[in-house]
Amino acid sequence: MIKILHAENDPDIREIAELALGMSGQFEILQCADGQMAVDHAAGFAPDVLLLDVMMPNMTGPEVLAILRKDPALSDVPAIFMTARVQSVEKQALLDQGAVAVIAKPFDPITLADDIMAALKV
Amino acid sequence: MPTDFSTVAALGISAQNYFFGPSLLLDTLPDPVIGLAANRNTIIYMNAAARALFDAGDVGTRTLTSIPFETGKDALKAALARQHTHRSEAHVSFAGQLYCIESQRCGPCDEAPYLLILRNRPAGSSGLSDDFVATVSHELRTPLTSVKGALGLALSGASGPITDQTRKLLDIAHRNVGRLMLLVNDILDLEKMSSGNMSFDMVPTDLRTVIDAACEANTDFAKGYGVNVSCDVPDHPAMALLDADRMHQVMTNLISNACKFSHKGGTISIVLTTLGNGSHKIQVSDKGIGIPADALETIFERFNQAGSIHRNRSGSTGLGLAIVKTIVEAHDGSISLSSTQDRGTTVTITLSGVAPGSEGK
Repeated sequence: MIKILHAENDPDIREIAELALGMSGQFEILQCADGQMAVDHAAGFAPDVLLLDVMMPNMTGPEVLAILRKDPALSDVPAIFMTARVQSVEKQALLDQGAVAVIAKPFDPITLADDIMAALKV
Repeated sequence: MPTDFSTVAALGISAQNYFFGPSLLLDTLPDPVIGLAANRNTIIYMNAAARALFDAGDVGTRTLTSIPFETGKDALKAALARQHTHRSEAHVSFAGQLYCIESQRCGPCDEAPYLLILRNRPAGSSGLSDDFVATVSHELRTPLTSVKGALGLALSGASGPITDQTRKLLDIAHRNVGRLMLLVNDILDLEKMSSGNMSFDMVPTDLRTVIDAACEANTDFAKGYGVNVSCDVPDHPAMALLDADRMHQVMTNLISNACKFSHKGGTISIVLTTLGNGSHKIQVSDKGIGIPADALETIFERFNQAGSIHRNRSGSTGLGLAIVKTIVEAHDGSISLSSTQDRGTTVTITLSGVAPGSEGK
């Protein structure tokens, strides 16, 4: 099982992502309702991949990633951002911050698991 | 506040009676305003903002063609040429800044002058700021993500079997939320472009790669309409300075339009040719239902009448061609459309070429 830490402030989107990833049977999921919760739980969960919403209140996805990267145990964990802003320059800026992929919103729940696996090149 | 075009037009028409003399009122406006003679070239008036922008102490004998716009000259000329009393828009760049020029003839008679307002809306100044667009984008897309995702999962059977009748209803909802999503994306794209907040990553690029990629990406879409796609590109590189993502968006838009309005079993033809002057011509043609002659004049306007006729049939947003035109003009290119009802439609784009040796993608 691939351990995935998912940070998303919208509860409906969290539920859809949980259902979508649960269907694939490949993931153990920890969901966090905001960036701070993700920071607080990341070390204990030891994720294999981070799935971070970009625009979250108080702490954005990139800010979460910047904090987690300072932890040696989490510095190499692949990160995937989810965002509604998908202009090429915006996408490139997110990749430049260390993400392995950017998934556009609205995402397709049927292919979400495959999209993540493709980003991880599993 | 952005300058209201109608107010300026009223000032131009009634207060000055076709004569743009010194005007304190127009001089207070933040946006540059230019008055043109009926020949659409001789400048007869500049307000203070325009004089400052173009470093013009007085208007003198200046002409519009003498202003060294870096891009968009042809688009502006075309906008002025095709308009009568309709308001028209064109995008130009000057001193590294993108402007949307609104223009309109100030009256019904042939002698009436033309009025041009240059809109420059950097983030935070006027119009919708980049932050505002980003926030709206996020706030609109978040609930749509949930609705689209939930419907998609229900249709996939993730929540258990569904009856055929329920599937039909969910299909309708899923299809229409997709349509709403497209509309949101198109509105935001147009706003970003017209306010100058859309960035273009201009790089010397071989147009063949863009066209090939767009054809390949839309093959399945075309199959869904029972339409074939034929792509004809030259053997030699066709280099142009362009934003490949945006030009891909242009081609996707044109191909999808051609699919929607083609007859089943028809073929869409995409042809790229390099002209003698080094520029490149892209033609996207179909032999579909065509467009009524009286709708052609406004075909590139937002929510145009022809679009409204076909929108229900096609699921179009009514903004696609306006976006295409804006992107093409931002590339200093030109676009035209010819169509005969029940015979088909051809859209032609012309882009300036760059030397084949240019570093490209």
